[in-house]
Amino acid sequence: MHVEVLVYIYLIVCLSMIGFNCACIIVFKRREKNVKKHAAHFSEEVREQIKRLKNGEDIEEEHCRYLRRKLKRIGNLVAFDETLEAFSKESPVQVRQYLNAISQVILYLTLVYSKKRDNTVVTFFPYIISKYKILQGVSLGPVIEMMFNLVKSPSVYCRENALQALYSTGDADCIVRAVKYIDENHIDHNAKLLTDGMLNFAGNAKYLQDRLWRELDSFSVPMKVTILNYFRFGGFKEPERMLKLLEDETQNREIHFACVRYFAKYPYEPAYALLLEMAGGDIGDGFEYAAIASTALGSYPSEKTMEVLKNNLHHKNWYIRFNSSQSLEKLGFTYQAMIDIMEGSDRYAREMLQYRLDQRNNQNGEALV
Amino acid sequence: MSDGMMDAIKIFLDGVNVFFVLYLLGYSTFLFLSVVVGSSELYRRHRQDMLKNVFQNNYYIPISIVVPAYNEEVTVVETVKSLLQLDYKVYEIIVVDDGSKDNTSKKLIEAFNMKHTLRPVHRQIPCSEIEFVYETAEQKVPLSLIRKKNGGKADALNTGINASVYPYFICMDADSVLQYDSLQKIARPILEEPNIVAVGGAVRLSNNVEIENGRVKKYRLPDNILACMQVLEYDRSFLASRILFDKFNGSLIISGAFGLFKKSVVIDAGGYDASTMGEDMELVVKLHEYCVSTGMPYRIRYATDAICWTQAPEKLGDLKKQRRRWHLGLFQSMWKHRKILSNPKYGAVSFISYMYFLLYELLSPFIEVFGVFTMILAFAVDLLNVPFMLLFFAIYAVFGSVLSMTAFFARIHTIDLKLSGSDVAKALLLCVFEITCLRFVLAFVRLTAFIGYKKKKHSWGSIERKKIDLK
Repeated sequence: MHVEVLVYIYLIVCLSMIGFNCACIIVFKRREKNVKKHAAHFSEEVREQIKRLKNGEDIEEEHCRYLRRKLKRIGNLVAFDETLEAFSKESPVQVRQYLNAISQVILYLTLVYSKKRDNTVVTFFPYIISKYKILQGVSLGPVIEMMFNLVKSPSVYCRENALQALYSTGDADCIVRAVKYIDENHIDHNAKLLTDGMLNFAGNAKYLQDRLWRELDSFSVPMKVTILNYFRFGGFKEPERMLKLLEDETQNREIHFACVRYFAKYPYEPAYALLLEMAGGDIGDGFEYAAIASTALGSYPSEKTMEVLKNNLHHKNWYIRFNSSQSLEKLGFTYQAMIDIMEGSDRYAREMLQYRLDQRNNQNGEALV
Repeated sequence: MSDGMMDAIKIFLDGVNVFFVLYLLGYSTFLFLSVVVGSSELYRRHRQDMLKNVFQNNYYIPISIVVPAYNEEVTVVETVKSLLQLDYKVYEIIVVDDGSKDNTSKKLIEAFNMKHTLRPVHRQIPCSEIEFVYETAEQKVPLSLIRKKNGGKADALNTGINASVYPYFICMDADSVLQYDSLQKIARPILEEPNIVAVGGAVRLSNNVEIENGRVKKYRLPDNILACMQVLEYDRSFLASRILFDKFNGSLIISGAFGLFKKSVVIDAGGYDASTMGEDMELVVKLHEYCVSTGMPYRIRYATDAICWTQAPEKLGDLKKQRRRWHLGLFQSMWKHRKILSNPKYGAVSFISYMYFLLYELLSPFIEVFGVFTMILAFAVDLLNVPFMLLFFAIYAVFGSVLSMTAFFARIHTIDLKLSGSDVAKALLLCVFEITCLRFVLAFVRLTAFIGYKKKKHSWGSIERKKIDLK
C-alpha cells in the first residue's frame, strides 16, 4: 500500500474528528436549550402540583404519568433537577412534600436507572436522591437496595453519590451495612471520602458510632482506622473504650496511632500515663509512637509532661523533636523554664525551641525575653 | 558517475525511503491517536461534569505549594497573591528564593509583612545551604520564604520539599497563575484511585487572557503571532499526547509549571536531580524507575481540568532559549534513565513512552536534517520526485493543521470558553504556519541545543518576564 493512501485515510478520519467537534458543539448547544425548555415546562407542572398539595389535594395521576414518561431520559432528569433546585430555594418544605408525594415515580425511576449501563448516566440518579434527601424519613426499600448495589460500582463518583444518598437516610444500620460491604469486598474507596462522608450522616451520630463500635472487630485494619478517625472528628465520647483499644497489644500499630490522635483531641486523664510512656520511647518499635504521643501530650499540661517533652527535644529523630517543641509551645513554655536548652550545647534542640519563640514573638509583635 | 556508484546511491535512497515511510507512519499514527483520544477524553470529562460525576462535598487533601524563584521580582508578589486566592482550605505556600540577584526576597517580605524565623528544616533530600527563612501567619494560609544559596531550580525545589509540612506538594513556576479551582482538580485523582504518586496539571498560555481572582474573565488568543502559534502547539503536542500517555500510565513528563507529587515517594526516590536541566521530566522518569524497581504499585495521572496559566515567550530568542533548555533536559533525563529502553519490566513506559520520546522528540531534529541531506542528494542525482515531494509536504501540512484545530477546538468547547470570529480565523491561519514554519525553526533550535551544553547545563535560563496582570 502506498503511504500516501494511509495518510489520506488519516486525513479523512481527522476531518471526521472536526465534524465530530462541530457535532458536539451543536449537540451541547441544543442540549442546553432543551434543558432550559424542559426546565421551564417542568416548572409550570411542579408549581401546579405544589399548589394542589398546599390546598390539601393529592398530586394528579396524569402528572405522575408525565414524570414517568419524561424522566426516563437523562437530559430531562437534568432539567428536572434544575427545576427542583429553583423551587428548593423558594420553598424547601413544599419541595420535600412534593417529592414525598411522587415517591411512586422515584420507585419507577429506580427500576429504569438501575438497568442503564452507562455509569456516567447512572451516577446522576443517586446524586438526585442525595441532593434532595429523598430517602430521609421515608422507607423506599428498592431505592435503598439500588444505592447498595451502586456502592460496588467501578465509578468512584457513583459509589460516592450512592453513599451520600445512604448517609441522608439517617439510618445507622444502613451505613454500617454499606461500610461492611465496602470492606468485605475490598472496594477501593478513599478513606478520606468515608471518614468525611460519615460526618454527613443525617441521623443520630451517637447511635451510628455505637453501632460501628460494636462491629469494630469485624473490620479490616485500614477500615478500623477510617472508623476511628471518624470517631475523632465526629465527637465520639467514649474514651474508656478507646483506652482499652490502645492498651490492647494485639491491635495493629495503626490502630494505636489512631487512638493516640483521639486522645490528643479529647484529653482523658487515665490515658495520660500510657501516653507519657509512649512519648518517652518505652512502648513500640520505631519513632512513630513517640512522635505521635509527643503531639498528644500538648493536651496534658503537667510538670511531668514538660519534662518528657524537654527530654524529647534532644532526641535524634527530627519528628520527635519537632512535635515535642510544638507541644511545648501549646503548653506555653517560658524561656526561663527552657533556659538549660536555650543556653545549652544541643543545637538541634535549641533551634526547635528558638523557632517556637520566633513564632510567638512574631505573633505577639514583641520580644518575649 | 559510474553505474556502480549510481546503484549504490539508489540502494541507499531506497533504504532511506523505507525508513522515512515507517518513521512518518509511526509519527502520524501517534499524533492521530493522541488527538483522537485526547479530544474524546475532553468531551467525556465535560459530559461527566454535566452529569455530576464529581465530588459533591469538598474534601481537602493538605498540600504544600513550592514556588522556586530566581530573579522574579517582577512577578513573584502577584504570583503569591494569586495563590492566596485559591479556592482551597488546607495548603501552605513556600517560596524558595534560589539566591536571586534582584530583590525577589525583599519584595515578598515587604508585600506580605513577613517576619524572620529560625525555622528548622528537615533535610531529607540534598539541597544547598539556607541563608534565612521568613514567615507570616497573617495570610489566609501559612506563607514562608526561604532564601538559599544559588543551586538551580531542582535544588530550590528540594529545599521546598524539605521545608514542606504536608504529605503532598505542588511544584510551580514563579511566573505562573493557578486557576481558582486548580488545587481541588489536581488533588481529585488522589481521591479517585489508590496509589497515585504524581498528578500533572494542564498548562495553558495566559498571553492576552484576562484573569480575575483566578478566574478567566475574557479569553482571547494572543496578539503576538509567536505566542499564538504556541497556543496551538500546546494543545496538539502537549495536551493531546499527555492524555494518551495517561491512558496507560505512561506519562514521562509533568510540567515544572504545575504538578502534584506524593512527598514520601519523591523523598524515597531521592528528590529532584540538581545536575539535570529538565528536572521536571527527570523526576517523573525517576519515579517510574523507582516504583517499578521496588515493586510498588503506582499511578501517575494527568488532570486535564487542573489549570495553570503561564506566559509564553513572545520573542523568538526567548522561545529558542526555552526550547533549547527543554531539549537538553530531555536528553539528560533519557540518558540518565536509559535502562528503561527496551526493558520489558517497564512495559508500555519502555516500549511506547520512552521510545516515542527517543525517536520523535530527542532524535527527530537529527533525523529531519538527515532527511534534508538525502533530499539534496536525491536532487543532485536526479532521483527526487519533486511534485510528489510537494504533494507529500502539503498533505503533511494539512494533516498537522487539522490535528491542531481538532485539539484546539476540543479544548475550547469543553471548558466553555467563547472565541471571537477573528480568533477562530487567526487559529485557522496560524495552525498552518505553526506546522510549516515554526516547527522547522524549533527543530533547528533543538538540533543546535547541544552547542554550549557543558557551559550552560546548570543555568536557570532567563526569559523576559512581564508583570502578571491580575485583577
